[in-house]
Amino acid sequence: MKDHHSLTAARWLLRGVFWLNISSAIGFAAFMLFSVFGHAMLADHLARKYAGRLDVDTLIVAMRLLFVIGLAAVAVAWVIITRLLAMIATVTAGDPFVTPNARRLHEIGWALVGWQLLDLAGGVIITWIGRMGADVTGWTPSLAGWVVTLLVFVLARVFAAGTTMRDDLQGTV
Amino acid sequence: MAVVVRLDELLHARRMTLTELSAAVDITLANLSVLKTGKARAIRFSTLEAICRVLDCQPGDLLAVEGAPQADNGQEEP
Repeated sequence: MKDHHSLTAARWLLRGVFWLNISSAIGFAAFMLFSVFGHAMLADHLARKYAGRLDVDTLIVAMRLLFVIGLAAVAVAWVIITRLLAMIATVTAGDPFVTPNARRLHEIGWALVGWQLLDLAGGVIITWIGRMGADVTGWTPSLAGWVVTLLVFVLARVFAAGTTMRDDLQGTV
Repeated sequence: MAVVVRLDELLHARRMTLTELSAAVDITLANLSVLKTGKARAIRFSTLEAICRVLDCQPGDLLAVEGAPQADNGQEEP
C-alpha cells in the first residue's frame, strides 16, 4: 500500500510539474514577444538601468537567446514528464517490465543529454551577459547532471535486458 | 525445423487428462496447456523430469524435432 501511495504522490507531483512546465513555456513565449513588440520600452528601461555602460541591443539579443533555450528546455522537460507519467501508469497497471518502458527510459536519457547541452549553452550566454556588465546570477557546469544522464542510459540498458529475460521466463514452463 | 511437444499423444496413450497430469506434477493447468499447444518458448528440466516421471517416459518421447533428418549416432541396433 505504501508503494501505491508513493506512486499516487509521484503522479500528482508530475502532473503539477507538467502544468508548471506549460506555464513556463507561456512565460518564455510572452517574454520573447515582449522583447520584439515592446523592444523600445525594454531598451529604454535597460538603458536607464545601466546608464550607457553596455550595448542594450546586444543585451536584448542575449536575453532572446536565453528565452529560446528556455523554450527548448520546456520541450525537453515535456518529453521527460510524459515518459515518466506513462511509466508510472504501467506500474499502476501491474506490468511495468515491458519493452515500451525500456524505450521510454532510453528517451529520457537522450532528453537529459539535450537538457545538459541546453544548460551548457545557457551557461555560455549567461557568462557573455555577465561580461557585458549586466546583472546575472552565476552559472556553474553541472557534473552531477552528466553523471545522472549516464546513469539513466545504464539503467535503460539494464531495464531492456531485464524485460527480455522476463519475456523469456514468461514462455518458460 | 521446429520442436514439437507430443504431450497430447502421451496423455492419450496413458488414458490421462491434462487436469490429472497437472495435479500429479504440481504444474498449473494453464502452463501445461501452453506446453501442450506448442506455445512454450522453453521448458525447465524440473518440468520435464516431473512429466516424464508421471507419464513413465523419456524426454525424447515428449519432444521431437519436426522435419529433422534421423540422427546417426553410430550405435548399432541390437
